[in-house]
Amino acid sequence: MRISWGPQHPMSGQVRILIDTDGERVLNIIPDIGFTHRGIEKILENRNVVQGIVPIERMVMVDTANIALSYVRAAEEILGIEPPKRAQYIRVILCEVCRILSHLYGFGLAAEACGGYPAVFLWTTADREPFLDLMERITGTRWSYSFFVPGGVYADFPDKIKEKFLATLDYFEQRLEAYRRAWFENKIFEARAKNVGILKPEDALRLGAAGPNLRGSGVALDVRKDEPYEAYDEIDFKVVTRPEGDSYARLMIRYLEMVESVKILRQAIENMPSGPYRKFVSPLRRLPKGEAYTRVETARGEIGVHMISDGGTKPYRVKIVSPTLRNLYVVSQMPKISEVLLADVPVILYSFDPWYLDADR
Amino acid sequence: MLDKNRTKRTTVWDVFNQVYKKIIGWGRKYSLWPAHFITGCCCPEFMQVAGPRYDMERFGILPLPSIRQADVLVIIGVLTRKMARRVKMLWEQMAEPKYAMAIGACPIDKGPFYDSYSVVRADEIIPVDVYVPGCPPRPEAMIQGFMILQRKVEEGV
Amino acid sequence: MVEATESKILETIKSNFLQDIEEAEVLRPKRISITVKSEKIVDVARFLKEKLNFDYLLSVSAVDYIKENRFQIIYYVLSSKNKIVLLLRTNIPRDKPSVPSLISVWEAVDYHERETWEMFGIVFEGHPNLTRLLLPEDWEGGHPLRKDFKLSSSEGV
Repeated sequence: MRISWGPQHPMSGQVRILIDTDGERVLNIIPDIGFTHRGIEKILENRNVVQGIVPIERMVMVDTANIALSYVRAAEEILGIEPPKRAQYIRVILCEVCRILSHLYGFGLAAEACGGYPAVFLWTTADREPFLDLMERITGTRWSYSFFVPGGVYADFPDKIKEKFLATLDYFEQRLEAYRRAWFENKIFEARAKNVGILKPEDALRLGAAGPNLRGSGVALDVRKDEPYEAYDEIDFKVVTRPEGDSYARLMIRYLEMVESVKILRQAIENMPSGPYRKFVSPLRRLPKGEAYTRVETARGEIGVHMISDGGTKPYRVKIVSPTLRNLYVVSQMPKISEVLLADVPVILYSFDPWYLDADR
Repeated sequence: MLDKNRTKRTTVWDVFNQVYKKIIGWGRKYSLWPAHFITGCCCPEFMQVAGPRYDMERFGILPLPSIRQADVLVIIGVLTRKMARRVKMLWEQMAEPKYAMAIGACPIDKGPFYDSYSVVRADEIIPVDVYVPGCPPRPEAMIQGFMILQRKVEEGV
Repeated sequence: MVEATESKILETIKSNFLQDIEEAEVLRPKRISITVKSEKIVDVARFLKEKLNFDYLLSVSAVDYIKENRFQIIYYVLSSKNKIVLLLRTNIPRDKPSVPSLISVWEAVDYHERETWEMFGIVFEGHPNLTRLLLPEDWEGGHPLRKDFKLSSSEGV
């Protein structure tokens, strides 16, 4: 029997998932994506490097800083400029706050998929608000900041919000403790998510899982440590991995990464150097001929931006290597590598934290 | 001879009709149930509106799984051609009285993707009642959009 | 295996496939780029995966050099041991774009080769399922990422 879990559904997102079943056993999972395909790669050939930040950061709205950073770093590599130290620390702060926002979102949706617990989902919605207020104080908007430019950041970090920032982090650490007690030690969640959708490390590399899904199977790949960018080489944090590879481990990784992000934020705020925050680069400047491939660790996995320039003001080709497209391939191969029952399909899908606008671009 | 321009005398039926319309309008506007349907990237802001701080349920707006029982079709975010076919199918399945809202700059006039080959405007597909601009619109703007729709519902009864 | 640097990897590849490599260079630390002839791409890919530990495929894309009448296909592969990204490139003529698929080497090219076919019209021989991925099912407009596909600012549904 073929079930069409379509775009109009409380828990499907902007995708149609076709599930072939034989009784309760799932034979095939086929994601049908493309419902939010906007043609960003074609649009970016029609924008210069400052105008191009606006479409590309709307690729993943919860995680805009990491996505915009990959595009801006590719432009900086072609132009051959390096942002000042203060700008690098400000970028790290925004990236880590976006990582927390994105993990809260993915984790809240997974909790709702695992048992229909709107309580945890609404807790995560409420806990995003203090961070959105901080982002509004720094950048001016709640989402889609357009704050990174080639050469630095648009405005300076206001030093008077440092205390409010640290107070928000203290409050958030209490909330993380509450999540651990209410959700991760919850017998229903353990019954639904433990030993479900097991992904072995060699399968994870062969099929191309990305980000926390790869680290949830024991493979320690994290671009922030493999190829440190911005100020990550001066900050002390660890790469979190779990050996089990099931859905519980993947969601646990997201929780532990939020704990690490709080540590990174504290260090970045306390050690921020003073100095200039931007080297001005004109948007009408001609890009030199060349190419650049940058890698940035977003909340869902590693994103790559390959920018090829032929000497004009607009890039010749921009290719975006999306993490969710790789994760969706792993989801579609899940019935072949382990036994999947019909009730496990939403748990597995949401433990990979898909964001379909990122797969469709 | 009867004078056709003479004003009609108010009857008991007219009074009853006025009161009846007011009650129906009050009931309809405070229980506008949209269907669970998101099309694009404004969805996290919509979730914040459904969250505890900007609570939209106090206005009676409760997302509903089934499209046949929904009152409002809210198009949140960018509308592409592939999704537009589904939107048309959903609109035809809804029962009268039905309303449509376009939230975000993208369904209104394609937003930042104005030259894309695959994005369409919402009012090329369905007749839209309320437009809420912004990229993404602030939660207060979304709530104001719903309040304008409520006024329209009440007056249109 | 001992940590290999970028130039050592390039030397190993060049010594094994002397006449099939058109270009091989180190772009910057941790980035290598090689260009091979399109008939030999499966052999080079298998060598990269089995002997040099390039086991994680990131993506596949293409570039349309319309003035030189060629397409350039790029495979982005990561070595999980050495943390180096290799860009495996090949050039094919624009009038008859077809290249052997690498699905027998890296299974994860499935969705990426489908998308490259859809956007450019390049046929990957041996791919089991070259069908639409992102565009609507009834798309008739051609291949969007080619340089002769012009964006227009407004189109009907």
